[in-house]
This record gives sequence, C-alpha cells and structure tokens, in this order.
Amino acid sequence: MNPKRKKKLIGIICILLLLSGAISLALYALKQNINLFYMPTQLLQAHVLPNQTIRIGGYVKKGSLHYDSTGNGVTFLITDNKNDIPVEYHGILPNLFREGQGVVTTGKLSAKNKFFAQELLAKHDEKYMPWPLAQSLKGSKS
Amino acid sequence: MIPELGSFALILALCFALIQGTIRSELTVNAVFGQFTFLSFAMLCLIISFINNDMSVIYVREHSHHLLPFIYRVGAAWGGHEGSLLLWCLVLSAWTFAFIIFSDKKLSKTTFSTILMILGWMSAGFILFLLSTSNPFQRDFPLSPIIGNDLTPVLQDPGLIFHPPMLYSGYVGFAIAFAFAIAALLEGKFNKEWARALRPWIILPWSFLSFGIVLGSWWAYRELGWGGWWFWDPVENASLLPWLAATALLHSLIVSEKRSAFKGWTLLLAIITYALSLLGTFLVRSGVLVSVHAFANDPRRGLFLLGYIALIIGGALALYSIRIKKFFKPSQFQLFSRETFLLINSVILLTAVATITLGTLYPIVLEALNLEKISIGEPYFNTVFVPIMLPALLLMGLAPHVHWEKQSFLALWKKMGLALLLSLLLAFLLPWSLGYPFGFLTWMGISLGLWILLSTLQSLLKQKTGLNHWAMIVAHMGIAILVIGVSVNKSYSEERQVKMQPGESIMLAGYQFTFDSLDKTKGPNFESIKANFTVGNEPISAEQRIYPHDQTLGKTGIIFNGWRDLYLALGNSLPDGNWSIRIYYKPCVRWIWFGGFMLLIGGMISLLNHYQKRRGAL
Repeated sequence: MNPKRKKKLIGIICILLLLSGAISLALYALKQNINLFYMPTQLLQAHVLPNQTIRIGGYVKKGSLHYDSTGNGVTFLITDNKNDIPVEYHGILPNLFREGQGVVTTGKLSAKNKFFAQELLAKHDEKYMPWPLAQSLKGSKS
Repeated sequence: MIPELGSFALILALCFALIQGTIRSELTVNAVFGQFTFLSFAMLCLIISFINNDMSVIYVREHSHHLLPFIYRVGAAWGGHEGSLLLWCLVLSAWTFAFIIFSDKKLSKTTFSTILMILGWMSAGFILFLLSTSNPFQRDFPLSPIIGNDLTPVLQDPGLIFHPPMLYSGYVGFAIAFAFAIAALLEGKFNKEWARALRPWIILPWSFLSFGIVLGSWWAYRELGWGGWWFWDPVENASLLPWLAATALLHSLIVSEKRSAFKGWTLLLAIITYALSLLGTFLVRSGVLVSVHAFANDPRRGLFLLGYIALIIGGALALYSIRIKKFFKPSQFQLFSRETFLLINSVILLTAVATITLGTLYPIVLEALNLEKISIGEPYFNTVFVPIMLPALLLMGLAPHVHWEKQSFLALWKKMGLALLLSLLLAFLLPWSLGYPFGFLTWMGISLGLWILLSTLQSLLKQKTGLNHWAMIVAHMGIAILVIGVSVNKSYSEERQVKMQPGESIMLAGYQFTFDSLDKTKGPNFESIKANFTVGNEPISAEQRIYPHDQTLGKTGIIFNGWRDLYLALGNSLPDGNWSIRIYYKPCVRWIWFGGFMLLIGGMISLLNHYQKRRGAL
C-alpha cells in the first residue's frame, strides 16, 4: 500500500472508531435516561416495571396533601380528574406547589402503585407548563 | 402614536433590507445604514411604549405592569417573543453595519457586495417574519383600564438587561461568517486573505456567545434556587450547540489561514455554526418547547421559521455540495502533526454537537409524530458529553506544542511528559492535602484542567509571544479554570434541606448558619417574606416574593469569596410553624464564570492583534 493511501486509511479508521464510540455511548445513555411520561389513567393501563424511572403529570388533588412528622416529606394524590395516583416525596416543595396546581414528577413506581417522586416540578405560571403536561391537560380539563 | 411610528419604521426597514438584498451597487451601504437606523428607532419606540406603560399595545400589556420598576420595563422590551425577535433583527443589522465599517478592505468589491446581498435577504426574511406573525406594536384598545399581565418574576433580574443582548450578539453574529462562506462558494475562491478577513467575524461573536452563555448560567444559578448552574434545558442547549460548532470553526480557520488547508471543512463549519444558531432561534421562538425562557404559542410562527430556516440551510448545503470540489487540495501534513490534532478537535466538537442535538430534538420529534411522550434528562447529557470532551481537553494542552506538518512523538513526550505527570500528581495531592475524598472523575477533571494550565504556561516560557499567542493563552487558561471549577464543584458541593425556625442554627461544611429573624418587607412591585441568617459574622438572607397575579418567586441569598459560595434558599412554611430551608456549600463555582469571562478577554486580545496588524499593513 502506498503511504498516502495508508495515511488515509488510518484516518478513516480513527474517525469510524470515534464515531462508533460516540454512537454507542449515546445509545447506552439514551437507554438509561429516556423517561416515559404518563397521566394517571394512562399509567394504570401501562405496564411499568417497578424500578423504571418515569414521569407522571396531573393536578395535585384538592384535600390530599399531607405533611409527615419530619416536615420534609409529603404525600398527595396526582389526578387527571379520572384516576388518582398516590405520591410520596421527600424534599423541599417547589415555590408554586399547592393543591389544585399542575405538576410533573419524576420517580419510580412501587409494587402497590404508589409513586416515589425524586423530582417535583410545579407549573410556573399561566404560560409555562412542562410541555407534555400542557397538552395532556388540555384534553382532560374539558 | 409611538407604536404606529414603530410599525412604520419596521416596514421601512423591510424595504431597505429588500433593496440591500436585490441591488448590487455601492449605494446598498446606505440601505444598511437606513435599516439599522429604522430598526433602532423601532426598538426605541417599543422601549418608550414600555416606559409609558402603554397598555393598548398587546405586547406591553402582556409583559408589563403599572408597578413594574423602570429598569425592568426597559428590559421587558426583549423579555418576550415579539420583542426578542425585534432584538434579533436589530442585532443582525448592527453586525452588517459594523461589517461595512470594519471589514478588511482587501476584499474585492464584488465579494463585499455579495456578502451584503446575502445578509440583506437574511434580514428581510426575519423582518417579514416579525411583521407578519409577531408584530410587537399590535394594538388592541381596551374598553376599561387594565393593569397588565406583568413580566414573569424570573425575568425581573439585572440579568435580563445584559444576558439576551449579549447572547444574541453572539449567535446572530455568525450570519457574517455564513454569508462569507456562501460568497466563497459562489466565487469558488477561499484563500489566506479571505481567511484573515473572516477571522474577526468569528472571534467576536464567539467571544460574545461565550460570555452570554456564562451570564445565563450565573443568572440561572441565582434565580432558580437549586444551586445548579447548568440544567441541560433545551434553551441552554440551543446556545451551547452553536458555541461548540463555532469553537471548531475558530480552530479550523486557523489552519486555513496559516497552512491554507481544511478549506472545505472551514466553509462547512461556518454553515453548520449558523445553521445551529438558526436551529436555536427556531427551538426558542417557535414554541415547540415551552420552558422557562420560551413563551411563544402560535403554530404559524413555527411553520414560517422552519420553512425559512430550511430554505437558508438547505440552499447553503446544496450550494456547498455542488461547489466544494474546487476547494479540495491534496494534504501535505503527516498523521502526527498540529493539523491532525486540530482536525480531531473539530471532529470531537462536532460529535458533541450531534449527541446534544439528538438528546434535545428526539423528544420533540417523537411528540410531533404523536408517538410517545418522553423526556431526556440531565443524566443523558452528562453521560455522553463528559467522556466525549475529555480527549478534546487532553489534545488542547498538546496542540499548541505540536509542529505544523509533522512532529516526532518522542520529542513531544520529552517536552510535555513532565507537565502531564505533574498535573496527574497535583490533581491527586491537592484535594488530598485539603482533606477532600478521592474520586476518579474528579481526579480526571482536575488533572486535565491543571494539564491545560501547565502546558499553556510552558508555551509562554519558550516561544516568543505575540498578542495572538496571548489570546490563545488567556482563552485556554479560561477553559482550564472552567474545567477545574466544574470538577471541584460537581464533586465537593454539599447541601442540606432542613426545617428551621428563628433562633435555631445548623452546620454545613464547617459553617454555622444561624436563623436570626423573619421579616415581612415590601418592594416596588412585590411583598416579601425575608429570612435573615448569619454565617460567622456575615449576614445572609433569602426571600419569598409575591408578585402581582399571585406569582411567587424565591430570592436566594449568597455570600462568596474566590474559593466558595454559601447559598441559602427559603422554601415553604410548614404547618407546625417551621420553614423549610435549603443551604448549599458550592466550592469553586465562580471559577466557572470567571473561566467564561477569560474567553471573552482572549477574544478581545485576538481582535486587538488583528487591527494592530492591519494598521501596520496600511
């Protein structure tokens, strides 16, 4: 092989290696980190594995918010006005978190359909809503 | 009357843009001037409408309030969709105007006017978009007096005045490089003089963009109350993507200028950089993602923007594929050389661009196709971005020491081996001597930061240093400081969430936070509950503010020195009379922004060099 071709070949092999490395890294990370989004009714119909991280969204049901004795844990129901999912969360509540408010939460579902939230997002104002929720709620409100 | 004048000025600006785009004559310079004048005038009209709180203007009504402080009324002019698009157009015309005044006079008249024409079309499209779908001056006379929707509290911060104009100056500025690339493709010519003429038009927007991103990060850190400084939010990604591509472009251009190689690659990168700027504009302005920054909701806007962007970028890439053969030249460098290192650097940066784009667009595409609703969170970006960038950082320390064309590996090792081993050792010893635990990624991060720092300093010792070399040194050291800041911050931050009431104290990272008192105060347009703490002798306080329309916002308290931030956020009140409190210890977090600031300084030094040389040549 002449040196010019050899150089080209090495160059191409390097780029291919780098590219395949990046792609497999991206696929691996995607597989770990894609979180599916559900509303309570969809969640009850879906098959979600106990240790899978998912996001659920809906309203905080009126009258369902309770603080535990430490003051840092809360339990409440997320509702889409058809079905409810009980949620447990430890940590500081977002500023706009209150009953009747739209929320999106990321976490894991336990065997008994109780949701352990790791992250809680509340609707920011009339115009801002985590985008999957905005569209889903449009449907369920009417 | 004033809003009508604003609308009228926009129409005139559109006419001037069309003249600039269609007529090839020396008079088009006047069209650029006219366009800049009328767009500035329109912006002034909008700002005056805000200052007067003219609630008959829909855009003002939606973003102002009779209690909104003066300075935020000025900033609110670009706080929403319509106004920020007007800012976009204004910044583009300002860049074009600057190009006329400062551009390299070595460019031929035809090239010069081709570039102006391309910019003219670009500007015309965006002003048309502004006028037809998002006119900020649209009126609607109310029957009864109204008070206005108010500016979102998150935006009521000094950051609003500086961050958007800085960011826009950055990514709109790449339009010049894009127009340059198109002109080069059309004329089939891209030589050293061109590369030199193009250089300031990449360095300057790149510096602004770097600093704009840093300002945004600093703003998010103070405002959002979670002690984080980067969230991989699509809006943040929209600004990071063009930055990465522009960084690749900057380095590839050096090769084109010094070695007259990589010409096709540089042109492609110029197109990609601008394409990513436009993609960012589309993401933020079309309403496809509704997030903290993005308040647009009209699908017509999305379609217009998407169509227009597809036209510009599709056209550019088609032209590229037809004309690129003219720029191929057999390469004269060996595999182990500075050229190769810089090439690998751009490939790595583009790979990072591809993976971030994937993570940002994938959920939107799935949603648009009505398939699944998914979200891709921070872990994806961290898992992918960090390993991809590590080799780039390693090369960054090496490349300035590698010769053009060819380099012997042994000589390089002899020269750089000490710095490499020293940085690996120091990164292990420094945290250990300060009593911090060992972590592999932390060690890697700090080593790479130190490695760049040491090798950059080493290049200072041995080579004769011109201003251009200084620019590189400052910018690379900025990245080194940023990398060290990120590594230390990610690894050694501490936080606590507690419930407290006045009189209690709590320890974090060796600091005692004492909750002294709780006040009720009033600001110009908000009421607030303020928790006063002391750490040592220093007071620190966090607030919960209630703005009109029942919007609440937490204001964090921060005390800082060069080494660490102490950060306090007030949560909600609990039924038992306690308050939930978050406190953070954030080591080296300011290094991140300082590093970003050094990029701006580096860019400015390089510019200084450019004009010094030019004056010398005249």
